[in-house]
Formats: sequence, C-alpha cells, structure tokens
Amino acid sequence: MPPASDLSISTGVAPAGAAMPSDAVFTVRGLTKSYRMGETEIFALRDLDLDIARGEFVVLLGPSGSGKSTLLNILGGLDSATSGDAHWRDHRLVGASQAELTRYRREHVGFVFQFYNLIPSLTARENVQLVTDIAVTAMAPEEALAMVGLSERLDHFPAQLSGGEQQRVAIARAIAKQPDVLLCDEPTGALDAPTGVTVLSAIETVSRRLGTTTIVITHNSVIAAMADRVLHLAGGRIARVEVNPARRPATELQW
Amino acid sequence: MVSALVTKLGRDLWAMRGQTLTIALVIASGIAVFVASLSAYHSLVASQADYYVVSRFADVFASSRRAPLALGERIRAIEGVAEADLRVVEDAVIELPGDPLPRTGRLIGLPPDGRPTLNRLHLLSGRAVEPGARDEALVSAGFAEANRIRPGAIVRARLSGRLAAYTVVGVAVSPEYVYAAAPGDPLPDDRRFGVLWVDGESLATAYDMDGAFDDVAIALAPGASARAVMDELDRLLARYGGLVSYDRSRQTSHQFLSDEIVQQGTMATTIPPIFLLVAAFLLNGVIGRLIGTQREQIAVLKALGYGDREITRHYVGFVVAVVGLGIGLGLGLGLLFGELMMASYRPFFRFPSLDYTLRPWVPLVAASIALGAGLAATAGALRAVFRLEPAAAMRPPAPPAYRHFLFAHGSNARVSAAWMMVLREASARPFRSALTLFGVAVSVPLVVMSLFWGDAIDLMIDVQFAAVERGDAVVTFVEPAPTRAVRAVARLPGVLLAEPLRAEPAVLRTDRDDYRTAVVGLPAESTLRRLLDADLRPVAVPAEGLVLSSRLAERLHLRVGDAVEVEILRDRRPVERVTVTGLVDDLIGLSAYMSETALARMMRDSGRAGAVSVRLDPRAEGAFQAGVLASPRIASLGIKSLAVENFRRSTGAVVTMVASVFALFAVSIAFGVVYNNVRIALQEKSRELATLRIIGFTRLEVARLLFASSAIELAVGIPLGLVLGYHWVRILVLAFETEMFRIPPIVAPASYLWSALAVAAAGFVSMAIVGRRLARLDMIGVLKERD
Ligand SMILES: Nc1ncnc2c1ncn2[C@@H]1O[C@H](COP(=O)(O)OP(=O)(O)O)[C@@H](O)[C@H]1O
Ligand SMILES: [Mg+2]
Repeated sequence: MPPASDLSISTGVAPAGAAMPSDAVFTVRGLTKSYRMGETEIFALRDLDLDIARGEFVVLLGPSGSGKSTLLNILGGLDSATSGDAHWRDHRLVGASQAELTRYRREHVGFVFQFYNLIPSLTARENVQLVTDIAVTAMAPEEALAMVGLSERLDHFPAQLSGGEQQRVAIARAIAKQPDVLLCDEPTGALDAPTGVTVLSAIETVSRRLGTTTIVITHNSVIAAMADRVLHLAGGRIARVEVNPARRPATELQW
Repeated sequence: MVSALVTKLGRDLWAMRGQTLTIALVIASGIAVFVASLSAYHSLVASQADYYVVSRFADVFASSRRAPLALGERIRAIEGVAEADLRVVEDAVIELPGDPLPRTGRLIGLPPDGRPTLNRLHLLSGRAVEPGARDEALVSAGFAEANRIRPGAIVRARLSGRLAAYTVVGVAVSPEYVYAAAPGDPLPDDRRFGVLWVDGESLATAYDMDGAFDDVAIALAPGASARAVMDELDRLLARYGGLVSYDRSRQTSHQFLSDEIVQQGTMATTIPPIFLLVAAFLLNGVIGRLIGTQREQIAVLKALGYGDREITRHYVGFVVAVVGLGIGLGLGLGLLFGELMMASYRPFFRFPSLDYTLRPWVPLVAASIALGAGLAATAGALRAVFRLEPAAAMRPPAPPAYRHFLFAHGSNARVSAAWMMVLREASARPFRSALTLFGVAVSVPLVVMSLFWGDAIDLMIDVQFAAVERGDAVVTFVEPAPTRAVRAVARLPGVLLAEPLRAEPAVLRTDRDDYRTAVVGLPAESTLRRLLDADLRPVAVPAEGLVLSSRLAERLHLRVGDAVEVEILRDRRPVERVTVTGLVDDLIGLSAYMSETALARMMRDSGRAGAVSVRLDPRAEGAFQAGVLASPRIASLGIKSLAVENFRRSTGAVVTMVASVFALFAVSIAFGVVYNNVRIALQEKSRELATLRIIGFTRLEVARLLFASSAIELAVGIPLGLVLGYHWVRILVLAFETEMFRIPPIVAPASYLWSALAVAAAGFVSMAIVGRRLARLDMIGVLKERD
C-alpha cells in the first residue's frame, strides 16, 4: 500500500480506492475518545478521521486495546465521544440525545457481537422477531434465518443451538430489519474456523444482497481479504489502510 | 493489610446500598413494631403491678346503703381480711365556677387523718387535706388537668341537695381510679368526671350517714380466699342494703385497665410477631435471591482456591452486616415508637408515673429471629452453589426448559417477541415471582389491620352512639326515683322526649355459673335506647322474659328458651327464674334487659327510674344544663355529643398513633420487598435488556418489559392481600374480644382502598427508583461479558 493513502486519511483528504467521498455515508472528523483515570488520560481514539461509502465492506484490524470497539460503538450510536464529529448521513452520532441514538439504532443499524447476546428464553425465530416487531422495513424472521442457513432451526432455543448457529441467529437478528449499516465486533472470535467461515459467509451474503454498509472487527488478518478496505488501528489512530482490488468470498478463506 | 475478600465485602455492601438499606428496612420494620408494642405493653404491666403494691390497692370491695361503723369490727374479724377501710362514697353533680357544664363527681370520704391506709393517694401537686378541714378537697389528676384545676381553685358539689364549696388543696392519683370512667361510661372523660377526696365526717353528715358507711375496701391476708371473704361480707352487709361484693376483677378502674392491658398484650403478641415473621420470611427470600446472583463470583473464588468455609464466612459477614443494620435500625425505631405509644397512654392511665420498661428478651428475640432468618437463607443459597462444580457454577445457570405456547407458535404469532420473553420467563420460573407476590400479599393485610382500628372506632361510635343510644343526654338520679321524677325531667327546658332507664344491680345464676351485672328495664316502645341484633336490626323489648347480650349468654352457656335465675340486689332482693327470650349484640358491656313493667312487677313497685334518656332541642341545650344544675335529685348528666367527642379524642389519639406506625412499617415492608425483587430482576436481566436497547428498543419499552412481571405481581398480590386482610381481621378481633368490648370485624371499603393504594404506591416507587437505574444501563459493558 502506498504510504500516501495513509497520510491522506490522517489529514482528512479523501482516501484512494473504493470509497468515493461523494458516496460517504459515515463521515468522521477529529473523533477523540478518552477516559480519565485519576491523573492520567487514556485515549481510546485520537483525532480520528474517516469516511465510509454506502455499501462498502470495511474490516478493522489491530491489536487489542487499539480502539476498534470504541470506534464501532460510536458509529453504532452506542457510545459517546469526547470530542470531534461523526455522522451517518444526516444523523449526528456525537452529541445526539439518547432518544435520537435509539431511533438511529432502531431504524438503521444491525449489530453482531462476539458473544451472541441472544435472549435465552426466546427461540431463534423469536429472537429475530424481536427486531422485526419494532422495525419499519423488516423481512420475515424466517427469511432472515434462511439467509443465514437456519431454516431448519426456527423453533430452537439458544441453549439448543451450537455457538456458530447462535451467532448466525444473531446475524439474522441484525439483518432482519434490512439495516443500512451492519456492525460486527469479532463475530467469529468465539468460533472455530469452519464455523467462522459459515458465519462470515452469512455476513457477506447479507451485505451483498442488501447493499448494507458493513464494518467487521477482527483479530484475524485472513478475514481482511473479504473487505473492500482494511483499516489498521493502533493507539486510537488509523495507522494504515489497505484497499483490496477485489473482495474474496468467505468460503475461500482458511485459517 | 485488608484481605481482598474484606475489601469485596465493603464494596459489595456499598455497591448494593439500595438493596442493603431496603432489606434492612424490611427487618427493621418487623423489629420496630415488635419492640415498640411489647415494650409499651410491658411498661403498662410493670406500672400497674408496682403501683398496686406501693399504693396498697384493695382486693375486695363492697357497697351498701347505710351500715353502722360498728360493723367494722366484724368485717375485720372475717378470716382472711387483713385490713378494711370503711368510708362514704357518693356521686354528685359538680360545678366549676364560671362554667355552665354540669360534671359528675365521685366524692370519697377521707379518714380523720386524711390518709387512707388502703388505696393510698399519691399527690402530684399541692398538699393533703388537713384533718378536720371540711372545705378542702383533693381532685383526681385527669379531672384537674382537663379542667385546669390547680390548688386554690374552688369546686362546688351538690351534696344531697345542699351545695358545698371545696377549695382544692392538691391533685392526686389513686389505684382505684387509674382509669377514671364515670359510672356507666365506657371510657374516661376527664372533663366531665372527677374524683374528689374530702373530709369523711362532713361528707357523712351531708348524706345523713353519721356513724355509718356505705362503702368498704378490704385488703386480704396473704393466701386468703377472696371468695370466702366476699361471701361472709355479703352476709354481714345484706341487712344494710348491701350490694354483692366484688374483687378486683369487677372493680371498674382495674377492669378497664386490665382489659386495656390485655388488649395491649394481645396487640403486642399478635400483630407484631406477624410483622416480624413476615419480615423474616421476606428477608430470607430476598437474601437467598441476592446470593443466588453472586453464584458466578462464588465459583470464581472457588476456582481461585478459596474453601467453602472462607466463602461462607464472607457471605455470613455480608448478611450480618445487612441484618445488623436492620436490627440496629429496628431497635432504635422500636424504642422511639415504644416511648411514643407510652406517651399516648399517659392521659388514659393515671399512674404516679408511667415509666418505660424494656425487658431484655424482647430485643434479643427480635434480633435472633432476624439473624436466624438471614443466616438460614445464606446457608440455603450457599449450599445450592457449593453443590455445583466451580466450572458449572461459573456458567450461568442452565436455562430452564422454556415452553412453546400453542397460541403463539409459528410466524403468525400474535404476541410480540418481547412480550413472549416475559411470558416464557414467568411460566418457566413460576416461583421466582412467588416471593414478590407473597411479599405484596402479606403487606396488604398488615396495612389493612392497621387501618382497621380506626374503622372499629367509627363503627363503635355509629352503633353505640347513633343506633343504640339515640337520645342526646342521660341524666342519672341520686337514687332510683318514682315515675314522677321522669316527668319532672321531661318538663326541663329543651327536652323534647324523655324515657326512663332503670338499671338494677343483679346476679344471674345458672347451675354452673353466675355473673354480676345490671338488669336494664326499658319501656316497651323504647325509642331513645334500642336493642340491636347482630345485623344491627332493632329488637323489640318483650313484655315477658329476659334479653341478654349474646356474649353474656355465651358466658353463662345460655340459649334462647333457657331459664336463668335472676336476683336483684336491691331492697328485698327478689329472686326469680326468667326465660331468655332473645339475644342482642351489644358491643360494649354485658347486660340483661327486661321490659320496664316486668322489672317493676319483680321489684313490686310501681316503676322507678335510675336515669332518664332525653332528646333535646339543640337550641335549648344551655337552658337544659342550667335546669339540670338546679335539680337536686340529679346526680349526673351525660351528654352524648361530648361523649362521642371524648371517645374520638382519647381513643382516637392512641389508635391513630399505633395504627399509623403500624401502617408505615407495613408499607416499608412492601416497599423493601418489591424494590429488592425488581432490583434483582434488573440485575438478572440487565444483559438481555441491554441487548434490547442496542437493537433499538426505547427506554420506555425496556422498562415496560422489566416491570411487566412486577406489575402483574402487584396486580395479583394486592387483591390476594385484601382477601387475606379480610380474614386476618376476623381472626384478630376474636383475639381482642374482652368482656367489656366486642369489636365488629368490619373493615371500611376506604381502608381496603387505602391499603391497596399504599402497597401499590410502594411498588411503583420501587419501580421508579429501579427505573432510574435502567436509564443508566451500560450497553457497552454488557457486551464485554460473555453469556
Ligand atoms: N470504560 C473504560 N474505562 C477506561 N478505559 C477504557 C474503557 N473502555 C475502553 N477503555 C480503553 O480504551 C482503549 C480502547 O478500547 P477498545 O476500543 O475496547 O479496544 P479494542 O476493541 O481495540 O480492543 C483501551 O485502552 C481500553 O483500555
Ligand atoms: Mg474490542
């Protein structure tokens, strides 16, 4: 990767590669998040600039503690920033009220987490229904589960599903509302490789079919090949950007 | 160096301060009610016992019409009599200068030295009556206080028609008048009834009793039989118009005082233990559940190598801290409210001093029950965790087998997934709700029982002073008077209607039992004094036969149709067998009723009246009172509106005090229980709720889901509690029934409503407090945790 692109990002100039600045749905400027621990200030994010285009598939790589989750959470309307700006289209993500953020999440964002966060007392179908009950443009829970290959498991409770299956339910739950944005924090972190691949395929299918802007955090650099663009975070900054000329299908990944 | 576990203990207590405090509050409420009631009760018991000994309260009493003082020799010679005090006791109308209201005074003649050896007087202020001082008087404390009479004041008494003026020289209390109720009045009315101790000789002269007495108080020798002494005394006094003698159990002050103490005792031994046990039970449940939420931490400690014993010690420390806080709080509040309850008794019970007594076992028992309940819960909850392998305990408990609901199966579900979550949780863990439900269901009757006392008073007033006694005033004659005296009263200004009341002292005898009471003679078409059955329907006075209070019938094992021997203790003491023709449901007292004519026939006179019940023209009350003051034959005047007012003021003060304290603690218990359960539910569900928030559920939607089950628990628990309350009150009044009072177990609808509202409010406040926490739900933190 040419170092120029790195520079261009950190200076806020449009990055080279897949992302067209005119298309940018996420615009992040000078985003800083710090925690005060007594005398010292810990920076989770430092003056970060970023644009992400509509439909883009972005992978965030970086060592533990580099600020990936913090960035994702702010983009998902789950966390506040110390300073700077972040927008999704015309939604303010920094300094917005709780109610505004709730509406943003409800209408536009799907989340997938490392720990599946399913409701144990609800079946697979009902866990998905949880979202379709409150979303405007939802698909049927069955359809969402079919997209992740779980048509056979509709009426199973989480305790009756394997980890990979549970994670696919979580993905189905995230995409059932046909979100504009799909945010995944280490979705394969708790899974073995083959299961991880099925889960990633599901994410891939969804993002392609629905044209969803997708951001995936991972520790696993192999997964980076799936992305349009790979952002390497370090110390709360984007240290390096890789642009993939072509996305590799998840099924071809191996680790 | 503080060990990490001790640090954890401190942090946990602080982090859970809301719960710590409310759990402490639950048990503190139980303890406070227990300690307050029992200490107040014990204080009364101790004051009574001490005072009776110090003041040499007599054991046996009798009165006669006029007995020669020489009879004293023979009375003192009765075997078992240690000491006898012969005296003159008379009731008279009393006037206070510048006050038109006629009062009733009981005048008691003092021995020549002014100091009775039995029923000794205790001076609160002033000095004793000087020997031979004919115009000096001591007045009873309540009367003095209510009428602001101080030494130096003048009190006038109409002694057998002649007006005597006394200078008050002192204010005194007497063991005979600890509870100073006018004859025939259910409650002391200090404004209208007072005792005057005056020079005995001059009092005797005024009533033409020189060299004679009409009242005797006797102290028994140790081990003497009261029965034998009374029988002998009756035999001696019979010739002198003696009424049947009686022991302390029928002495008015003692009887009321003892009933009151018994009631306080019942109150202290029924309701507070229920409070304490309910609180202990709930404490047990709440602590069990609280420790249940710590199971993963316990597993981690075990994985780190801590033994069961260390872990147990840690949680015992936690529970002891929480329960200890509750005990401390409960004892503090208990002492405070105990003193307050005592203070509310003071105007009722005129002891020289009413000191606060706390028997050591009371706080000990309260603390042990609380601690026992807390530790039992800890042991149970820890045992459940210790049974598991640490690895298993570190995983969240295996989810219960959730059920598919037929009605909601498949994609055509009518129930939203979120509500399905609530439903499944509730059906999979039916007993989880049980604790809250139970807590709610038992707090409601605690409030109902507390409010019930006010209702009981209202009902007693309604029944006694509206349905039974329908006149506005009752005048009592110095001596039973012929019917023309009734007509004279009817002619007094302002009297619209006058009806004679005749009450003759009598003994009712069956083969097994006897009972001394009054036979009341009523006109056939009595309108001012009515007899009522259990449903408050008027019962006609039968031309023949006897109508009994149902409790008297019960006591004598009599039924309608049975015959009972009636001896009237006056004049020639006629004895007749009379058939019981009906029962009435008096709330106060045990009486027997006859038609006026049947009683006159039995007494072989043409009808006499001891008192007259009158209906007054409200505009002419003053003129009526003046008329009464001017009538030499009237000994006392009872004014109903004043009696009602007095009843409400005196009893009302005590009951309101006790009831509001109880109700307050009952609501605290409800609050503590609901708060803790909602709080624990939040803890258990925080992960799911945070997930819902992330998905886009609003705070309100999430709150609705969290509180749905609590709201249902309230909605089910409160009606259940009202039903429980209804039954508890029925059981409770049985425990409270005394010979003098019967309390109808009728709770006013408003009290049910208030009980329900109070507990519902406690529930909603709990939810509101927990709801604030919900707003701060950590959405990100929860994502870092594994399932
Ligand atoms: N609540 C918090 N308090 C203090 N520091 C935090 C908190 N949350 C995150 N951090 C710090 O912020 C930095 C970034 O965290 P995070 O975004 O979770 O990293 P990553 O997801 O890349 O592992 C880390 O150094 C972490 O210690
Ligand atoms: Mg992370």
